[in-house]
Amino acid sequence: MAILDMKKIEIVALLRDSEALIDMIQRIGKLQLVSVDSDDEVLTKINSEEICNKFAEFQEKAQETLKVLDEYKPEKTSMFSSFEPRKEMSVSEFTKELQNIDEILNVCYSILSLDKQINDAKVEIIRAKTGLEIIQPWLSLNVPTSFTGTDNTAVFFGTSTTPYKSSNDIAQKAAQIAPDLDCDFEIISQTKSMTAVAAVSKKEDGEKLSTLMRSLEFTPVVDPTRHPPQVRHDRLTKKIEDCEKKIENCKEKIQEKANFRKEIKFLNDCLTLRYDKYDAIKDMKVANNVFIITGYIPTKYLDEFLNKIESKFDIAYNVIDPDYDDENETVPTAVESKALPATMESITDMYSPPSHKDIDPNPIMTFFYFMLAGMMLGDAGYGILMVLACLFIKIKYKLEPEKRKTVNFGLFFGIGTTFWGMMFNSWFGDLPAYIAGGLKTKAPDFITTNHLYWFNTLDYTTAFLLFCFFIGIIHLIAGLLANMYKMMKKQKLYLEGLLTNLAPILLLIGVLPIINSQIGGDTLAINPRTAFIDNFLNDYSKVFTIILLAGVVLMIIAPVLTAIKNKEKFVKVIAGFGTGLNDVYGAASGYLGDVLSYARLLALGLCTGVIASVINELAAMIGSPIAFVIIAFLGHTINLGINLIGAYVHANRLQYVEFFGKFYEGGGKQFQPLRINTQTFKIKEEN
Amino acid sequence: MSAYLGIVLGILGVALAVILSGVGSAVGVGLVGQSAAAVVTEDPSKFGKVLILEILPGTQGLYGFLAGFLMMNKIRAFDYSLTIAQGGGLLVAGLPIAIVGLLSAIWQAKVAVAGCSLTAKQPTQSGKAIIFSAMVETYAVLALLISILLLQYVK
Repeated sequence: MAILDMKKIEIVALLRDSEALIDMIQRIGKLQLVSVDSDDEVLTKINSEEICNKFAEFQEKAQETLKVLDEYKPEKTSMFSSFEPRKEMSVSEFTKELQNIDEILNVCYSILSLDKQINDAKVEIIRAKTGLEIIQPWLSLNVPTSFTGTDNTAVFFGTSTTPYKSSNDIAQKAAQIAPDLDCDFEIISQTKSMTAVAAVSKKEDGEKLSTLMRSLEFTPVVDPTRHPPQVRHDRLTKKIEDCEKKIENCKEKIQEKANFRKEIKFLNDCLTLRYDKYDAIKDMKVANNVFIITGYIPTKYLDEFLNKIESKFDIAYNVIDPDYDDENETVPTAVESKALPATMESITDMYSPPSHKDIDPNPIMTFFYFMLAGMMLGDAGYGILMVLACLFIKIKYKLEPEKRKTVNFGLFFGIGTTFWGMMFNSWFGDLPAYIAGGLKTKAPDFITTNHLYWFNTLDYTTAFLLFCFFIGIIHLIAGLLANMYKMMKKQKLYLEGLLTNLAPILLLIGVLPIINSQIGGDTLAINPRTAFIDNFLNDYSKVFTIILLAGVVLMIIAPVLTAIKNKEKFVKVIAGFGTGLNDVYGAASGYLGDVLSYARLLALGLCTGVIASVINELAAMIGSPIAFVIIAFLGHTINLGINLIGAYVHANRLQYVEFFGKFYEGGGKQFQPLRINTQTFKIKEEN
Repeated sequence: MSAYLGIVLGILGVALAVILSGVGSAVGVGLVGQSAAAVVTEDPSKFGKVLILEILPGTQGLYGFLAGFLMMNKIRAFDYSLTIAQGGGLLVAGLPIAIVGLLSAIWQAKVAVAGCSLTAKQPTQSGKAIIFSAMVETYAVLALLISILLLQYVK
C-alpha cells in the first residue's frame, strides 16, 4: 500500500551451509544482498566471477538454441498465450529435473552444431553457384579450359566485355594490332555483356597471341579446369544438390529435436537462477569457517524470513535501522500496493522509482490517470471493447501478479474510456445513428433525439475546453495536496507545508469564474445541460473573489511567516514580502501554463470521435451493410490503435510534468531481492 | 467571381490546415521511423518502446485533420455560400494549427530521434525520452486551441 520500511540485516552462518542457505534465501526472495567494503583482513571475498561467466556462456548457448528452433520450427502460439501462468513445481520435482540438465545442454550443443552445418552448407552452395557462373560460357567446349594447345598450336581462352558480332570482327581488330600474326578465332559463347573466345595460333607464336588477346582486352579464364568444363559443371551441380539435401536433413533433425524446447527453456531458467545465485555470492565474506552476508529486507517480512532460516540453519544475525539520509548509503525502495494502485507502478517507475523521501504516488495517481486517459480516448464503443478483452483474459487465465497489473491497467483504462464516451455521446463515433439508418445512411436526428449523454463535444467545443481546464485544476490541486501531506509527514514542515501549498490551491479555486467568463463567455450558459456550472460560478462569484484574494495575500505573506517562525533577523522578515510578490508572479505564469496544458484532453478527445465519425461516413458511402461492416471494422481498429497510444502517452505526460512536478521527486533505487527469476516455471512454497 | 471567392477561401483554409500539419507529421514520423528501425535491428524487443516515440509526431496531422473537419462543418453550416469575410476568416483561423503543426511535428521528431538513441542505450529511461518529445507537442495543442476558438468568431 505504500513505500515499505526497510531493515538492514547482517547474517553470520557456517561456511558449510553457505550453498543451502543462499538457495533458501533465493527461494524466499525477500532479501536484497549488498556488498559491503571493509578493510578487515580476516574477511575475504569469494571470487565467483569465473563461474558466473561460465553460466552466462551456457545461457547464451541455450538462448541461441531457442532462436534456432524458432527459425526452423516456430512455436505455435495463440494471441493471448503470454498470459498463460508459469508451471508450478515443487522443490523435489525441481531437483529431479535438475539432474537432466547436462543432457539438455548436450541437446543444445547438437542443435547448434546442426545449425552450423546448415550455415556451412549454405556457404558451400553460394561458392558452387559462383563456380557455375564462371564455367557457364565454356560449357560447349570439349577440351579443358586449362588446355594450352597441341604440339604445333597454341590456344588462348579468354572473355571480353566488348560485344563482338562474329569471329571476323575479332580477326579484323587483331589484324590492326598484330598484322603479321597468323591466328584464328572462334566464339564459344556470347551474351549481351560477354563474349567467350578461343584463339589459336602456331606453337611458336603463343606468347604473341597471349599479348594480342590481352591488348584486345580479353581476360584469360579464371580458375581453369583440368577436364572439359561439362565435368566441372556436373560436379558442382551435384555438390549443390548434396548440400541442399544436407540442409534438408539437418533441418529435419532439428525439427525432431524441437520437442526439447520446453526442457531448453527450463535449462535457460535454471541458468538464470544459478547465475543470480553466484552473482550474489560475490557479495559474501568469508572468515575461517563462517561467512557473512549483508542485505536489505522490508521490515514486514523480517520476522517470517528469520523464522524460516533459523529453523534450518545455525545463524547469528544483527538487524540495523538503515540511515535514509546518508548519501553514501542508498536504501532500496520496495513498493507494495493494492490491486488498483498497483496498475500505476510501471508508470511511476518509468518516470523514476520513489525514494524514501517520497510518499507513494500510486494511490492518488490511479483515479486521475484513468480519468485523464479515458477522456482522451473518450469513446464508449472502444472502451467497452477494451473492458471485454481484459475481462476475457482475466476469466480465461489464472494470471501471475505482474500480468494481472497489465490486464487491470487495460481494464480500468477501458472503464474510464467508456464513462467519458457515454458522457460525451461517442459510441464508435456516431455509429448508433448509422445503425438506426440501416448501415446505409445516417439517421439525421437520431443523436439529438436520444438524450442519454451529458453534452455533445463537437457542438460545444468551448464548453468542453472549459471542462478540460476545470478537470486540470482539480488534478493540480490534488498534486498540491499531496505535496502538503508529504511536507508534513516526511519533512515535518507543518507551517511551510500548509502555507506554500494552500496559497496556490486558493488561487486555482479563486480563478475559476475568471476562466469561465474570459475564455468561455456564455458558452456554458447557453447549453441547458452545462448551465448549472455557470450558475454556480456566478452565484458564488463573491466567494470566489474572496478566495482568490486570500490566496494572493497568503502567498505574499507566506515567506514572512516562515521567516518569523524560523526566528530570522528583521531584515530577512521584511525581504520576505519581496519573495512573496515574486512567488505570485511565478505562480500566475507557471499555473497558467499548467492549466493550458490540459487542452490536450480536448485535442485528443475530439480526435478520436471525429476520426471515428469520418470512418462511419466513409463506410456508409458504398451503401451496402456488408461493406459498411468491413470498412468500419478496419477503420475503427486502426483508430483505436493510434489513439490508444496517444492517450497513454499524454496521460503519462500530464502525470509526470503537471502532477509529479508538484510533489514527487523519485530517484530511488528499486528493491531487487535475490529471488527465483524464471520465465517458464515457479517453485511452490513448501511449509 | 466574387460570389465564389468566399467558398474558395474557406476550402483553401481547410486544405492548408490538413496539408501543412499532415506534411509535418509525415516528415516527422518518417524521421523517427528511420532511427526506430535502426534500434530494432540491434534489439527487436525494443519495438514497443520506439513505436511510441515514432507515433508521437503523428498527432499534429490529426490536429490539422480535426481543425479541417470543424472548418468543413462550418462551411456546411453556411450552406456552402460564404462571404469573402467568412471564407477569409476560416482560412486565417486554420493558419495557427497549419503552420505550428508543420514545424512542431518536425522538431518533435528530432527530439524523438534523439530519444531513440537514448532508448537504445538505456532502455529503462525510455519514459523520459517520451516526455522530452511530448513537451514539443504542447505548442501544437495551443495552436489547435486557438484555431478552434477562432473558428467560433467566423459567423
